[in-house]
Amino acid sequence: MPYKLVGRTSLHKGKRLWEIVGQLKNFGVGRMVVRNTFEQQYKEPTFYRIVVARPMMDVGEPHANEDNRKGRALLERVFRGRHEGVVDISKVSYKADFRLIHKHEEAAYIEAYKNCKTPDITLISPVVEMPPLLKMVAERDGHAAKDLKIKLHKTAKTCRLAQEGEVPTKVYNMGLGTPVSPALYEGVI
Amino acid sequence: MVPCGPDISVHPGKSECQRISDPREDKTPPEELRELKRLNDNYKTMMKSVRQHLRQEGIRLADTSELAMQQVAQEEEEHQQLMEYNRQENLRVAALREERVRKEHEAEITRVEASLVKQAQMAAAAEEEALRLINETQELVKTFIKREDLEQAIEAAMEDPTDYNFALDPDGHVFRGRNTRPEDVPKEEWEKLERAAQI
Repeated sequence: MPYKLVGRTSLHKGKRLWEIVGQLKNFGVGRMVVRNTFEQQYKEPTFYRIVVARPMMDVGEPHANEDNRKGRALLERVFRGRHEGVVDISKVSYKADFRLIHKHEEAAYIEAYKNCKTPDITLISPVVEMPPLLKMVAERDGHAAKDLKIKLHKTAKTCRLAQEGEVPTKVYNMGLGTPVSPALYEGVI
Repeated sequence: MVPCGPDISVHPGKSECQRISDPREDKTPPEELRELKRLNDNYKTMMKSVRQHLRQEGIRLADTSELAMQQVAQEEEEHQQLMEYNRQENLRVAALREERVRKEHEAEITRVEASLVKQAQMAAAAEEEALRLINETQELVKTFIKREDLEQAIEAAMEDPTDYNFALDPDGHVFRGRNTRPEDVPKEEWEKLERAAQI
């Protein structure tokens, strides 16, 4: 009889960070660790180097799967070819998504990181034309500003607002823009 | 504590491992997801900026904004000025009014005094008139026929009838008597009509 799989699925594939780290010398300081979801999702190299890993020992019931979930984890991260420095992974370390990289395999990742060309930072034009109705209303009611200002989130890494004199790479407007895969719009009026 | 979320798949508990739930896998093609994300990002960006703009407008025009406070202060000042002006006007008009009232009062007093005098005069005149009437009547009373002399007076009147007949000629001569003719009266005794009382 064919097996029938039941239960909730997840895209995670691997071990918890603490499971890995608990079995290493010095709690795995200096070792490289990788997340499966990032490997699957992103072409660019993404990996971690353990800097500090202090698991909460003897906390929780093992048979109830409560242990190996908490602790303080500071890892150096390279995310999608961009070196981000030391990041606090404590809140994410419970995920069973981590994989330990062998020491002889580390070089490949570092090589990929060195050869990786991250795309240039997109310059977004800070000023955007108003939608037509709002423009009319603004003129009629005498609003303070004639154009809209782009509000960029503070942690933006791949883009920033263009300064004075710089030519912006991306200009937002009211239209739909150009789709990356026009095939999707085939037959659509 | 029972594990939940992605935890369950790794080490499910006894009751959890037989649980069937809907598959989590999303079968949309990745191009479509990418396109949707692009459209969504565009929309979100534009919407955020629109809302930011409207928020700024709201702050600028709010009741507690600088503009509004300035306007309020201005209005307050203007109000105070006008109140002051009004007060000054009131004082000025009050002074004029005082003057006018005083003058009127004096005029009233003089008028009242004059009227009193006039009244006194009129009273005096009336008194005089009354006295005169009394005197005249007293004089007249003397001519009244007394009760004792009544019979005498009647007899005298009957003996001495008055003849009211008279004639006038164009020159104004009066000829008394019913049958008197101008030829009957001698020219020296012709009576010339000079006063109405003569008739």
